[in-house]
Amino acid sequence: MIDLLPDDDQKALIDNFESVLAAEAPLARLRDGQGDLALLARLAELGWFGLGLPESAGGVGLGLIEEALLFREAGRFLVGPRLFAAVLGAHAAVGAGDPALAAALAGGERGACLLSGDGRHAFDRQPGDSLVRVDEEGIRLLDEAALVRAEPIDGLDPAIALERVELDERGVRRLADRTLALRTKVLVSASLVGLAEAARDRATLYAKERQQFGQPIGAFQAIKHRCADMAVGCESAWTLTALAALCLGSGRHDAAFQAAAARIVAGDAALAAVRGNVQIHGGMGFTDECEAHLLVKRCHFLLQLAGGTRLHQEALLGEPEPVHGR
Amino acid sequence: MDFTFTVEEEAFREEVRTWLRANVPTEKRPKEGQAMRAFDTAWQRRQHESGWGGIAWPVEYGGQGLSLVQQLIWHEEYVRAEAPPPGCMFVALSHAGPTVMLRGNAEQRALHIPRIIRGEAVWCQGFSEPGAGSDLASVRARGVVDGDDLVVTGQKVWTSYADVADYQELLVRTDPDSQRHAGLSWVICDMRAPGITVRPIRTMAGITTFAEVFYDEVRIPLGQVVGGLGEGWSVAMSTLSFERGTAMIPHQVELQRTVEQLIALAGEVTGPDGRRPAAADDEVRSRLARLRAEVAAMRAMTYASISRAQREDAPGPEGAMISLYFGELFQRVHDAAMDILGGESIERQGRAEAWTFRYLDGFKHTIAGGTSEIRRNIIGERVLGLPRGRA
Repeated sequence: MIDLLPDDDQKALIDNFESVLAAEAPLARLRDGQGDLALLARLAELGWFGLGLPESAGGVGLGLIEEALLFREAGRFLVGPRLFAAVLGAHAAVGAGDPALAAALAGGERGACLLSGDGRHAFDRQPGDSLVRVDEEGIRLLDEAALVRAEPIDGLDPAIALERVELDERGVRRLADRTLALRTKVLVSASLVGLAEAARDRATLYAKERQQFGQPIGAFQAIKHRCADMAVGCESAWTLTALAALCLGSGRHDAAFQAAAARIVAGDAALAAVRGNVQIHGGMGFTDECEAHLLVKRCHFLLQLAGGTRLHQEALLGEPEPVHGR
Repeated sequence: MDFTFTVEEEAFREEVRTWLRANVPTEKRPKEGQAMRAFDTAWQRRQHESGWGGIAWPVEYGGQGLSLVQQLIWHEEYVRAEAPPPGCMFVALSHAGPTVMLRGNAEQRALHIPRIIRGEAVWCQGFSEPGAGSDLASVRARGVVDGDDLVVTGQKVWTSYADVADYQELLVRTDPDSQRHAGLSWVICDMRAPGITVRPIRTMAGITTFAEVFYDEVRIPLGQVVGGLGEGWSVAMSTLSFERGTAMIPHQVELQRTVEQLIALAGEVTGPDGRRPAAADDEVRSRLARLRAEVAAMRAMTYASISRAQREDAPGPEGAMISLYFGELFQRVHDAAMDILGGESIERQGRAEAWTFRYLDGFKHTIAGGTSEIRRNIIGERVLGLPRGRA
């Protein structure tokens, strides 16, 4: 069966994510430099980290597609990168045969932070965290002891605490599980889609309200067409991300192809949308007071989270053309 | 959400694949004129005789009544087998036939439907005029009732295959005092009727598959009006309800193949450094990967539109998104091809021939059937709810 639209259960899930985040994650929260700790503690309580984990590891046992729906909404509300760390860390713990650690990470009892794929940066790190590092080949789950040095530095995204780190990974077991690397790609894509959709919606809303020359600026084709391009970007990026999630979830032969393609298309769509959103907001969009710049900065962060676009382009060129059918 | 094919669907795919492998014509399809007509109608006849004619048509009209997923499978295998496009049969199979089925009377259906499905009748479309392009509702060609006839005078333009067509779906203003969408009628016009002049138009790609058509007091029996006088706009729009999210499938599958061919081409052509193949150049690689990803996105959008069509009866404005995406992506693919061909991009023969032809011909994809600008208006206004501009 081919169905890229959510069923009733999935719709209810989306509504739930949306209503909780709309109430608890206004973008104004990002100005206090708290790294979304309070919000993430709340989401852990709600069991969201364990959505796609098997029930044997204390999870809900849903699929990757449901997890992608979560990350799409999380992207829309700029939920911090510790969400990635908790979810991916828990999956890695399951893969490493440590269901107790998986449950602790998914329940939020044990903290985790994400490292960049090249191992040079840590994001929103807290004392006692497990460290999660994902690259093209697989995923590594590190203890705090592996951290040799950590130096706070100024970051592009004001809502994410950035550190330059040095690691000692001797004795660290690396899970050469490529599906976790692909899962990361799909979830980053989903977050990029959510971010693009937030930008599209903000730009469209502003274009309906803002009046110039005696009419809403959205009546002008120069503005309307830019919003339309955002809509097309979001549609292309989301449908492909959903397809990639389904392919990976069911172990189809073309999962790696679709995941890389989704990350490329979602990255391009998000960047175009967040930039367009600033432009459509005009002078206001250029100010710190307007939230448009937060989306731009988060977009650049997400674009580096699992390797830059060029890396995914090479990954995609390395895959065979998907055959139609099974 | 789901993406799987059932055992039955896989068996169907095998059946389609086997038939196509044995039956796809091996000779080259002529690009224009009577030779093209003979080729296209023969191919339609062969499909029909083997039980593969009119895959989207209801069984009661001689079609196959396939499900949306079966239609998808058919198109995927069709392109894979390098089967020829429907060509001059397109308007009859995808526009005129379905419209006559939905809105025609028993007599009109009995006369026209079997001849289309058997590949005996070729149709063309007479909607656009010199003064009615993007603004189709400003049609001026007039039809005056005189006894049992409608007497048509005026001009149509961009009529594909007018030179080889038997019939035309013709939109004329039958109420001279009417404005815009009211007062139009959808008429079956016999292309051999006295008073019709077809003047082929040569495109920038150098072929003459479309034409302008002039009508000088052409007499069309009133029995050829479909859906009643003054109902033309609603009849023309009813064609759209037949289109159930499947129209872009052949384009998508074809473009996927084209991008794979482009990647292969980049491995053969010398790149910008004059030494290594183009495929070794970083910028070329980046572009190829992006195009490959975007074709995958178009495939996903196609699946999403099938998903929507399975739930809703009437197609929504989302269709404008995939058409827009396709047109611009097609052009980006061929822009890249021209750059990859480099010095060979100024040739119209050899290995450059197919690419340079499609590069030139592809300009139509952001114009025909609704320009990109009109599609962006539709998306802005009907998908996003932005206000219409002041006229």
